[in-house]
Amino acid sequence: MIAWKANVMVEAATRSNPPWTERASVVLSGLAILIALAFGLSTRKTAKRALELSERQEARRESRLDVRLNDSVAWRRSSNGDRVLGFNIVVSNPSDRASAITRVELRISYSVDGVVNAVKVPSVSVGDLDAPRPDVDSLDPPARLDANDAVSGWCLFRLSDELLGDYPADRYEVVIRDVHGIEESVQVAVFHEVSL
Amino acid sequence: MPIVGDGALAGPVAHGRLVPLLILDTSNRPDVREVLRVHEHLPPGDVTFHWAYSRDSDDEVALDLRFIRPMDVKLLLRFSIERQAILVEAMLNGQGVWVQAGAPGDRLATTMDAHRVLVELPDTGFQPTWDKLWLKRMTRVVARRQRISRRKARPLAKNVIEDLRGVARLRLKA
Repeated sequence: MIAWKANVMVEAATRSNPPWTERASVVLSGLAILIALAFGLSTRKTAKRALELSERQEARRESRLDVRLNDSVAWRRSSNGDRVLGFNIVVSNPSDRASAITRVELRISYSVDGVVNAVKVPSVSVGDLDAPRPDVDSLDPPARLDANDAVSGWCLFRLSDELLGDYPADRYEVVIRDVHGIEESVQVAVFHEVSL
Repeated sequence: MPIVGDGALAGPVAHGRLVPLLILDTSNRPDVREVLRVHEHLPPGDVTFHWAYSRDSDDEVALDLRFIRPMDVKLLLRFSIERQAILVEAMLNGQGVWVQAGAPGDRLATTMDAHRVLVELPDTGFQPTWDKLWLKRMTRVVARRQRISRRKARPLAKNVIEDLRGVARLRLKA
């Protein structure tokens, strides 16, 4: 009976005052959790940065075209009864993927009986024009466009006087299309009129 | 899109095959009139097309045309199998159709100098479907007109189709 009572007292004493090893293990566990948390946060940050980098690289591989207009001229050829519209254009490829210009066309918007029409005129090479022809270098599709590269030249369009007839043009837009199907355009409002 | 006149032209364009011509009433479609007009002043354009038939009517097939160049214009041409089957057959055989802008009353004979556009219609595998639709409709038409059963009308319809097909498939020697 006495021995049993003594055991109970020892157990009670143990419960109220845990040994230092138990306290140390609790502290160590807490530290381990904190370290794991800090490590996890750091890894997450690194992974996020890696993902952003990878996404930026992927975005650079996506096809893109930038088109800039330098100059626009309308050469009037009264002997041929037409005009040659010329647009000096810089086409750049800011992506890491090589491309090629496959089509250059001029979209002319005009209205007939209140209905807006847009006629697509394909570009012509300066060599395909009959004399007199403008003294410029034409940008003729297909034209190779390497990654992070740019090309420039004159996009030429022959417009006979009958094409629009008496309908005034509302808008001119030069559209460049690449081999990946990307289309970029630039609107033109002002031409320098030159007689040939 | 109302078709106000039709005809056919044969010549060196389609190796002597008869290519039908459709005169469209463009009074309410200035965009169609324009696409046909500007074609004259520009290099050949691009067009896509689909043949279609109606689930509700056994007398109708349609040609869904979409001009992409020189202008983006859509038009739907509907044909009655009973009255215009020869045009459809000639389009399928000639693999093309001449399209001309016009107004009610215009005929090919009176508009020979008008500008027209040749739309190429390469084979898309519609011929077997067309053959079935044509026979089904003609069988019904013959049965109705002769007041006989469809079983009896079927061989007569086949004869009619063969005669019409012979005309549609006329070919001039090059």
